[in-house]
Amino acid sequence: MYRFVVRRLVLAIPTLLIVSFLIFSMVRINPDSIVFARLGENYTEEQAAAIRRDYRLDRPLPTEYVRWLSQVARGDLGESAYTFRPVIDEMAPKIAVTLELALLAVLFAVLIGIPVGIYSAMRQDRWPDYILRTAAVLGLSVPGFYVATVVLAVLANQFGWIPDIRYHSFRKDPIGNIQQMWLPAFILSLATSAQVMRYSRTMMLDVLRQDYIRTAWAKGLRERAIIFQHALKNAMLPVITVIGLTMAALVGGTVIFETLFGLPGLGTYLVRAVQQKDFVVIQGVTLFFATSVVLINLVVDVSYTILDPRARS
Amino acid sequence: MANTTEAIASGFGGRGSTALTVRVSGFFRTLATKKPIGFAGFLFLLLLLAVAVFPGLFATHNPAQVNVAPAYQNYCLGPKDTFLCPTLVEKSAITGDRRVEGSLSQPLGTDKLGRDVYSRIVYSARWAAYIGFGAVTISSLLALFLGVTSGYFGGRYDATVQRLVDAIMALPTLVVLLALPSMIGRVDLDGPLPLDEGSITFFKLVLILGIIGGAGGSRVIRAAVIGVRSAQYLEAARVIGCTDRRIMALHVVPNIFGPLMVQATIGLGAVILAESALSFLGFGVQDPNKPTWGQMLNLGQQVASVKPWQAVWPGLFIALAVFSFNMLGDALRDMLDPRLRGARGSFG
Repeated sequence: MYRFVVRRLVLAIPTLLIVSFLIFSMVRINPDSIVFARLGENYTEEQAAAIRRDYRLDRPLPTEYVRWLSQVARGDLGESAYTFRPVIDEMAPKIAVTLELALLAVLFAVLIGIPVGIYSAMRQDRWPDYILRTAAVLGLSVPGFYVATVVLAVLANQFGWIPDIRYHSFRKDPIGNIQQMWLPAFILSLATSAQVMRYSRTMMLDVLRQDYIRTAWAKGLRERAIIFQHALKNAMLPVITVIGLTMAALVGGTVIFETLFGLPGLGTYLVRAVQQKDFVVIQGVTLFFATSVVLINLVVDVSYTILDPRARS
Repeated sequence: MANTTEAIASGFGGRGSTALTVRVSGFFRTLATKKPIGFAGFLFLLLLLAVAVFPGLFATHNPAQVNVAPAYQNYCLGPKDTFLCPTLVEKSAITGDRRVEGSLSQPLGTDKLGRDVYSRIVYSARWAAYIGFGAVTISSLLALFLGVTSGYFGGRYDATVQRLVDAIMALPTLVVLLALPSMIGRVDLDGPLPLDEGSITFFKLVLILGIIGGAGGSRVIRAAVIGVRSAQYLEAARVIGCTDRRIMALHVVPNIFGPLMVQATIGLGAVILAESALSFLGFGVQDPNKPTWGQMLNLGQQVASVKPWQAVWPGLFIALAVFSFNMLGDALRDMLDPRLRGARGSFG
């Protein structure tokens, strides 16, 4: 087990290095684009040279990458070109909002996906199963932003309700915060719920076919006891790996839902930075998102190995 | 002599093509009878292609025809204040002219510039198909190349490729789509403003989506290749002296055709969904003559509280496209993967 955990940790390092290099070079594919973004259309060659010097665009890429990486390691993501404040300071309060949205969405996905998946497996190839499975594919297909648009339109039309544009922080106003967050988190979770449902159904069916379950039936145990005491533990552990797999999509989803519901998270910050062509901010937020995805997958894999003795071999 | 050769050739060709026809028609008969929803997805795919190639046959209006009259007052005919009130008479406050929105000739209504929603949905199919098939072609070729070589050779090459794939998969697609096009913007002093929204083209989106999709898809292909790597027929090919390239092209690729098709079908929906999300945020292709469902949804969302149908219809088509391709992909998976054959019901 320790060998696996160590191996998994070691493998994450090159991945993180490649991710950071991709993001770093993405900004520098076309160094002139930074000059244009800063100066607009009319500028002199001296001004352009000054910008290139400021952003160190005239230096070779590999040495600049190492320099940038060592700065990032010390918690310095550079300065926003508009507010002249350190990006890391601007990001800090926004991380909490995005994290809360994502965590709530994962919570909803688990609360909806797992029970529905179990029920569907218990009624395999009968009408409840067909309906729930079709609903799950619908959940995967209907875009969350479309559902949100329609829900917001109905709420505005029929009930005159629009999302609160002021943000209530959890620390100051926990009730207001939950009132504000549950709806975007719920709609965001629909696709993940569908995925969790499909996976937990498959896992449950896998376990229900095993010999010890047949033995439990033969002993005359009730269905409830078989499902909840015998099958559940073995079936549900692998389900946590799905959460890692859906993380990248979930992060993309938070960008849309923060924009739609006016939440001041990393997503709205990124959208604004893209509008302003604030490259340092784009680079910082993208790096944060990608690193989180890698680390969450790492945590999921490692905890799965620790929790499930079968995965240790 | 010539006659004989011809006869032989036609005989062989005839027999071969008959066998193929039987196989293909048998495949579709099974699809239609055993997987009706998957078959419906296939029909939707054909419809999308037909509409994309001949939009003029389906559209009733010019999709770019703007029809705005100044200072209109909106009110609903029929039950007032109902959600999805499709008929709306716009009455000019100044001249008293009436313009009916959602008439029989424009059943889905018009958008805020007076353009016909139905015709724009029809013309959007062209871009959905362009993005879908373009990105899926790139991603399938990339996935095939990376997955087959990675799975077949293994070792250090495999380990390196897999770290790169890990890295690309860790990047959220939407975030890359938001950030990247503005970075690779055209720098052209004589043209429109450098780095303006015009720099986001369908071709760039196809390229980015294709590369991201290809990285993810290569995982599945690689797993399938590892599954057949130790098969005896590969060993036999190696023993008679086939080169690696020949083995991969003639013996490995045909055996992973099933997973590749499933990936491509589901990828079609995923790519259309990704473009819609980008356009919905207002960062898609900005050309009003190249409508996409996501772009229409974005416009509709801005007026969703007064004219909800403008958002409802385009969104419905995004959902329908993604749903169809998911169902078709699931059906193909059940039919093409012999391990799953007969394991799942007709609705799966």
